[in-house]
Amino acid sequence: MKYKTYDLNGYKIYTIQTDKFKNSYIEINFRDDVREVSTCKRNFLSNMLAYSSKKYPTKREMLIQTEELYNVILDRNVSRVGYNLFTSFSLDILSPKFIKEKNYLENCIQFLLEIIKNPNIKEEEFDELSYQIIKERIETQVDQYKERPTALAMVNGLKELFPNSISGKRLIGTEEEIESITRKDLVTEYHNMLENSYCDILVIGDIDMDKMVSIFQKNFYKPSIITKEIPFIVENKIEKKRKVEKESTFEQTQLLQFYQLEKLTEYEQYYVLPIFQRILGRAGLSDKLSKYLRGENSLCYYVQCDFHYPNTYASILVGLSYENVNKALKYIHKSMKEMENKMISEEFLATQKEKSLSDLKLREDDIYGLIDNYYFHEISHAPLYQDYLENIPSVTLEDIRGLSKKMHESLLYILKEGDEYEEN
Amino acid sequence: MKKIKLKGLEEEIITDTCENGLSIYIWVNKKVNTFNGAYVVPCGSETVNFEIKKKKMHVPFGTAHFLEHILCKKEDGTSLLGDFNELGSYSNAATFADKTVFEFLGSNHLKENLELLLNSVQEKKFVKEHFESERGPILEEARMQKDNAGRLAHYEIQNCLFHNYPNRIQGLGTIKDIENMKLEDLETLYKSFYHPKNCFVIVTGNVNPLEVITVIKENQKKKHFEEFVEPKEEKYKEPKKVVTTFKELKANIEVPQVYISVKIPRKNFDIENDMLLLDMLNLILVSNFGTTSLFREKLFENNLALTIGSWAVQERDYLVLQVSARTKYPTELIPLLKDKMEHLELLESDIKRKVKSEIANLVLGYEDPESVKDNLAYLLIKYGKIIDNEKELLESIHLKSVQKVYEKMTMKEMNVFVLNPKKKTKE
Repeated sequence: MKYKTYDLNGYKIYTIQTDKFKNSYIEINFRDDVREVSTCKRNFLSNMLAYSSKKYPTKREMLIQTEELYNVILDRNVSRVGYNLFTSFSLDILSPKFIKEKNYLENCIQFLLEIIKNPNIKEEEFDELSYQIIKERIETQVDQYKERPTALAMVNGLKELFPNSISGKRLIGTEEEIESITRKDLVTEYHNMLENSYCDILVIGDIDMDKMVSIFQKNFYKPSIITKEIPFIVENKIEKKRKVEKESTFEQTQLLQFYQLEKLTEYEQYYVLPIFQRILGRAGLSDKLSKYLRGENSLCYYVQCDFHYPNTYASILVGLSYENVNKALKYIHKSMKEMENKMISEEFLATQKEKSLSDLKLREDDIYGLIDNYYFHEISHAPLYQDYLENIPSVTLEDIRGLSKKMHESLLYILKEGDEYEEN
Repeated sequence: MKKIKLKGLEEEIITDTCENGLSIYIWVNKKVNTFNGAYVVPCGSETVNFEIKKKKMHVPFGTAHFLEHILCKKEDGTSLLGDFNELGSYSNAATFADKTVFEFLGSNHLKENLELLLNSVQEKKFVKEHFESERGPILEEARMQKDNAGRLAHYEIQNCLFHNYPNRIQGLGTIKDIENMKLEDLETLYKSFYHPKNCFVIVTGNVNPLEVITVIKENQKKKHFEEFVEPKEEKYKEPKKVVTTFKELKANIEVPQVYISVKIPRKNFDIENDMLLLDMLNLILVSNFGTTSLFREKLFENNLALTIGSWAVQERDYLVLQVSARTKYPTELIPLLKDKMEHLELLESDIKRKVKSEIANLVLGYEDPESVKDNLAYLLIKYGKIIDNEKELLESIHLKSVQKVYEKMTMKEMNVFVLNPKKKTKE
């Protein structure tokens, strides 16, 4: 695998040349400080750009072209890491070596650039029909999370925990925010994105990278160079313990226990935290939470333990009967206490470290994971897979105890099951 | 050891059989770091009525799934997943309608992973206490699934379409089934279907096929199995008519969902090849309701639908064509979808483009060990063999052949199912 970054003044191209995969992947990423951008507008805009363009004025025409290009997959996404907001447009293509057409790679890149460079704008406004369809669709998506009890608990729990922080906010925005966005606003947002964002291009696959770079050079120009630092961690104030309980119409209760994290060292963040997470709740039913909640006490089917260090919190989510909430809490606390008191065998720690290293090999088989790892290494100094291999083996039980001391029990959010109970 | 060349894909499947009848299928990809191993049993959530030596047998719905859970427990009652974890591997088990799959995904200790997989499934000692302790998590799993609107819709539609098929009941069984399940039910299914002669092992990824075959054969040589009882699944008699033409239900959803399903007897069609027939039916549906259809575009433009999906599946002696949509206006949308189902269109340009896309998907499909394993398990259970000419089958599809299929598509037996929001979620 050959890693190389090309600096083309207005933008950079991060590349990995490899013949490991049958597909290749190209992503154009705009990166902003989330505090300076309306995430709702940005999400609306990215949907508009991927829906129609000057050359392909309807979604249907755009999708016909994806099929003509041997079923390339066009995607868009808006996501956040710390204060970094990423607006990305990507194309998954067959490796050009499988295609006889001479200009296949160039045609694919031109197609992706068409979406970015030639939006469906007339007289300083986005196309009315595309706008109406997208607006309706996003307004419906706003409430879709309420259909799943786990998502409902998580979204509302985060809103309760972080009422004034970006960590508690959904990028999609609210119905009122979406309603207030005009076609003109979206044009302003479009120019804002092109002019004031970092622009990074990610390419991985069996591609002649120099040729690919020359295609971009010929067809894509971004005048401004951005240099501001955008933090990758949102440091939220540690809140007092409290409990919030809400009613629902679902069959099952969701117990969501939050923990807030103090600032971690880079060593703790990248190497200790993944091992801690495994021992606590990610070791295939042999971790502490699964062992106590499911294995020994039959309280639940799933217990999900997640760490979101860029937002400095961790969450434990359990689906169970309401009558078992207190029992489950007792075992969650017991598990956490054992982490703090190093009640973990050296063998189990060693197993989890080995499993973590084995996972790295698995991640190396993932085309998207590979390019993301390289990209984040370049922009945020996150470790490369090689660095994990070198550092994970040195994690000790003392490191685990140190990390648990930096975790503080915070909000307990209960989404209570409904009273109705019937067999369908 | 035999090699099955997959025509036009430059891929091959290596196959062998152990003395006790256990079949082995291997696909090698030296470019990846990982390997995937699966023990596949042709017994799933729909395996409830069967015959052994002319004796009728019955187990409750949910037995295969309960058995899958119990097989993932060790003799001391702890989870087997922990043992795979110690080898640095992921492991999982899943019960489908027609099969149960036990698997691991790893990058080290191939031999140990394979032996652990084989021994855990083949050397089971049933312990009453472990059986009882697993009832709680399974009941919670069932309650979790009752909160899944998609699943609710799926099983309700099966009940609207079929009178007798066992696909009408949730794979986990009802809450009552789980509460009343007996250990003997699990043992009955285990003894009947888990014989090596009835099962197969699939190994995909970065492996040496000779090593895989040697490890499996050596492992099997050490074991003794009772005689295979050759269970035969019950043949269900299913009337042509749907059970009901319309049904409405409420669920925890925010926007109504509409499903139009059509039941067509398989014997209506002259084509012998099931896979080719399904490919063509899906192609017809996707041309009319898929992302590049004009009809779909008009529905979106007029705000009559927010999403649309379509697919064709085979359920024993019948084919089911289905179109689903999320819509704020079900009353207006339903007649339009029904009308479109009854007046499907075929365009040569659409067919050519869709075939091209499907071929690209097929080529890309042989890359990731997990998806290849899934595909092989699907082919072996559904068709009883590896289909070596999937690409040729797709290439053989053209307007005339699709038209022939289209002419046999009778839309008479149709069901409309609507899922409506229960009430607004309290915040």
